[in-house]
Amino acid sequence: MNRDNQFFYIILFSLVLLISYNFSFSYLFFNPSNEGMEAWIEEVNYDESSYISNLTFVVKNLFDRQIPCLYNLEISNGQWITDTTILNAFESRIITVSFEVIPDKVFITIYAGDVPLTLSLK
Amino acid sequence: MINRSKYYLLLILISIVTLQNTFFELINYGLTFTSVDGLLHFSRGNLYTEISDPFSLAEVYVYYPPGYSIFVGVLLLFFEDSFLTWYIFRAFSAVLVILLIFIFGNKLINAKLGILVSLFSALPLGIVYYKNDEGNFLPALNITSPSLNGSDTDIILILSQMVLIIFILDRHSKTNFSNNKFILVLFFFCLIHALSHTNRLLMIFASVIIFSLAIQFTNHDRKVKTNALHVSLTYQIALLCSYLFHYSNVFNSTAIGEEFANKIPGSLDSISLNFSFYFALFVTFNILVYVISFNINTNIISNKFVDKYWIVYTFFALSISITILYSGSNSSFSSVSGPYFIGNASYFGNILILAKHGYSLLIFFSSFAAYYYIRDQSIRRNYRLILELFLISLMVYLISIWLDFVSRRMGAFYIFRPLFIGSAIYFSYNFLSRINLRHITIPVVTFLVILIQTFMIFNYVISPPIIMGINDYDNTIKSRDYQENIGVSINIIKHLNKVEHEDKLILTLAENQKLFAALYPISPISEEHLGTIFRNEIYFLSFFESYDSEYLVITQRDIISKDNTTIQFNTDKYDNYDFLDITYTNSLGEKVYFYNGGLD
Repeated sequence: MNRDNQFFYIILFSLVLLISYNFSFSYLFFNPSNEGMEAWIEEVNYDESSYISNLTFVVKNLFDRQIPCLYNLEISNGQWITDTTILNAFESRIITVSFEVIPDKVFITIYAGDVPLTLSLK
Repeated sequence: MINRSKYYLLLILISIVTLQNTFFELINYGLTFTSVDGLLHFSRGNLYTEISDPFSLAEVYVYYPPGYSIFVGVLLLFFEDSFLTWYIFRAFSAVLVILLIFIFGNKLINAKLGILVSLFSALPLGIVYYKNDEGNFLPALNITSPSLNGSDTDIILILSQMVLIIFILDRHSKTNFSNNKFILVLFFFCLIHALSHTNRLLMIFASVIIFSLAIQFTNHDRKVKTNALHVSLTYQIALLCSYLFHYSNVFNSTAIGEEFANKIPGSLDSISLNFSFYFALFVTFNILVYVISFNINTNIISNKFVDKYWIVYTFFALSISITILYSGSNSSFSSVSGPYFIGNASYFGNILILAKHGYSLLIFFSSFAAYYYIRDQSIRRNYRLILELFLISLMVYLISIWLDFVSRRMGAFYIFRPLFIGSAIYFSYNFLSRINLRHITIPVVTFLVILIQTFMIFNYVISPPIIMGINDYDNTIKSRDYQENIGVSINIIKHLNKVEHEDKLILTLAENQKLFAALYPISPISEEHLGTIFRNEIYFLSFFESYDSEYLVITQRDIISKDNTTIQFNTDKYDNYDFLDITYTNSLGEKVYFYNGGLD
């Protein structure tokens, strides 16, 4: 094997590794681990003049997972609202939801893998 | 021909990887940064002016011509402020950078170097040192070229300028383009750059002017001298034009001249900038350069001083060291770009960090060799001149730090980093192949290099997550008499601190009542009593009212016993109580319930 060919194969091999790195990244992105999520209700505001209540909650990664993951949110107040969010390592995602009609009880479900997280508020 | 197609294939592969990386990078940063807000900032040559409608091309054009805004503006018209807009823009920019930097390396030595350089600018193979909370600089893998985030058009414009300067200085160029045409194109690029990002043009501007001055003193070739003078003039005229026709109110009624004066970096703030000042400076400087360059015998200087490359390179190494040491000691710097870091990297932590330090040093020393290698191997001497531009841009950066002259925007030497790392690897390969033992050495070294890269990259991406948000001991609890190894999230503690402040009672399950006790020092409830309450629903329901408590905290220890085998409590029933809201929850099963008074 001459020098030129060696050079070529070295670069090609490195590229194969790096492309596989990208694929593994994608796989982990779309199939996040079900561990290491936390969520809490940050604030509840009720505006008496406009009858709109705002619910702010935070979703956060407990773990340093290095790569972002894709999560689904489901908010229920009698009718379902669904949303998709992308969470990065250490990132807090602050989400505010407005309700024009005050619901009896609100459930927020975050699908983080197999075990969903649920927040509730009366 | 076969060889050429190999390189094309590799370039396409690199571009594909770049497209993927751009996608992930964009996801990593999120859309919040690269949104319309970002556009409003970056598209204005660093000037903040309120515009009513960022989506109106006409309005954007008045304030922020060419550069960033026109291109993004067109995309915004089609895709609005969506992921796709930013992905198309950044992917296009990234691939363009890869191609330009390939041309750069290819022109300097050959296509192999071009491939290596583009590889190094496309992948996270460089090292950047980030300062952690304790003030230590820790190495991290980083894209070697400047981050495309926010600098997209800058890096493209700068690289294009570099390539054009190479063409202009090359008097044996076989292209059909005459020098005048190249200079016209260079002028066009400079003007766009001046309009879209003045600060960054200033950094290149300063480097190029000193560079052309250096050529006047050191080069024997009259034609190269003249060309260098033309390059210098082009930059000056471009900056002048941008000032006259856009920023000042000399020819432009919608000028933003006052703001421009405020944005002129650092120590120049106090100088009143006006047309006559610029013009006088411009004329004087160029007459001086012209008189000096064509009347001085440059042979004496060049032979005795400049051709001693080791002096130049020692200066280069020293200035890097001083710069980095300076920036290392300066608390305002949160990151230092490797591989030149030799500061207080005293934290070794684990084998991975140690490997990164080693890798960084390896590249640092290899780049010494690479500098000489390019000088010796470059086909045409004029191409090599670009290396001096690197040294000069480094000097400009150094001086900008000393003068506190927007040093963050003076890092023109960043764009040479992939070139140096690429050529360091290329040099090492060629050097080893000359040794007799190459049959053993090359495979071993190749294996090691690939192993290190793979180790670092894969560790970076697919290593299992490390728990960062869990506190074994929280300081607020640790400082009290009631210590317990409580595995709760930092955010639960935050929740509780807030409540503690208001003298509210917090509940935990019996097993973990130390947390309860810690927050309510004079506990009126015995452990036994608490156990009874949680095991008996009737007591539990009345508990919140009886003790004026608001929160029920369930920590990891309550759910799983100390030996991690048996489940102690099933919290499902608490979830179903209407009088309890779940205000905190996590994947470990920890929860904070809030009593909403629903039992009344």
